[in-house]
Amino acid sequence: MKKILVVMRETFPTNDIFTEKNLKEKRILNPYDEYALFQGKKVIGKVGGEVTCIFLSERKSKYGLRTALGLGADNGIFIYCPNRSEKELGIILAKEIKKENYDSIFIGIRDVNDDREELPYILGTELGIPVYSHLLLIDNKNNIIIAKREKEETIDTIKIHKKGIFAFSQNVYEPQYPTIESIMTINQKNIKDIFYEEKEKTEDIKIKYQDVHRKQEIYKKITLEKGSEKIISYMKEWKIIN
Amino acid sequence: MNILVYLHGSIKQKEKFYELINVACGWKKILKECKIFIAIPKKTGKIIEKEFEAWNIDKLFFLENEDDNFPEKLFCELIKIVEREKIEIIFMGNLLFERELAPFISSKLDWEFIPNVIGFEMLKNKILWRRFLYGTRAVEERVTQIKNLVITFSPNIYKKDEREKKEKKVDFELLKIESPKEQSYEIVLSEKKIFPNILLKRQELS
Repeated sequence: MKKILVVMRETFPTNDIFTEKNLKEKRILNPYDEYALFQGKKVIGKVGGEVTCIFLSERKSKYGLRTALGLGADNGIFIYCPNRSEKELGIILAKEIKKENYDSIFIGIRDVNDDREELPYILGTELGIPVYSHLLLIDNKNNIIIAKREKEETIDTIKIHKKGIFAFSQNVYEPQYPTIESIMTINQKNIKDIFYEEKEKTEDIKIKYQDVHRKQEIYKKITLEKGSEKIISYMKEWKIIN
Repeated sequence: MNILVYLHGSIKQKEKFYELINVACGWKKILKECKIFIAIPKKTGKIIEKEFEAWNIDKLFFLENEDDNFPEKLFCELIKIVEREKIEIIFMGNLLFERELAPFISSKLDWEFIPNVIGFEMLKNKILWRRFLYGTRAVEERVTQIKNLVITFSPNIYKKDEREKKEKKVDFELLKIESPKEQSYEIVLSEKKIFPNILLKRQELS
């Protein structure tokens, strides 16, 4: 395994509040994909080789990809493809992946904000290779690929026989930041750009944000009486009480 | 419009099985010309075979293959039922293996995948699905056709008991399919997960 491709996506920071501005602007690397990148780097670190990061983005900003390069990816492919379904993303990715002969593809099993664990399987079907899912870690021991895999009641150690898609169900709990030294190298790394056309959001899918207004109101120095009145008025508004 | 309900897990999961069957039977009452087929590993299915008679189920399939390490193997069995019984919708729960199997099937069949459903509403010729996003901070509402769907349901979302007053004998078939022998990986070691509450119980006993 000397040439690894890591699929990376951006997502909304889980600890941020929902405001229109935040939802539009704030993004971090998907922690599951970030973990896949660290696993890729770990495997390559032992035997040598390169990690390419293919970055799916809904925005034209390459900040996320540059962060991934700063975290250790050797080169990057930036794909701008807004408002695509998982199926469409799988096809876009497969088309790009087929151009090179990668030894393996690493990916987070899901977006941290959306438990749709679909992309690795669409990719597996499009590329005709197996998916190793719910992986916790991977190691290269004397050119034998060993992985730990989570099951309902057990943690299995598995020996990999075939090239495939490695989907990790472990994430990084804290976002990682590139070091000054690695930031200096980002500009020397190759980035290939691919821009797909803008696409309108489908009307069949709507998202209802539940805490946009709730967290925005902070009352300071409020009396117990006034606080209770406020809580009761909210409970009536949310139809918890009549 | 035929529904296949795949029941995965040990007998400890039987409340979840009943809930999935209740959802399917609820649909059968609304949709015209709908048949319900159940696929369940033979070992578990045989224990609760008699209980299936309470629902309006058309046929039971007992699966000989109980290996839940390779979704490819189970897919070979389920696809036989899908083709033979003209299945258009597949229901299952959302345990780890089902979360692996469901997107595998949907990608192979090119059907729409609706994971971890927490609610649904029948519309005119369509259906509205609800599922959580951002942990539980947002709800996605997605409208789809009522066909070519693989759906995983979150537990405890459907409380209606759809059992019929009159029990009926349900046809069953033992399904044994030759699955691909070549495996992409082998299991070297399998270790039981240690759950913190189990350790607590052990401490109480000693």
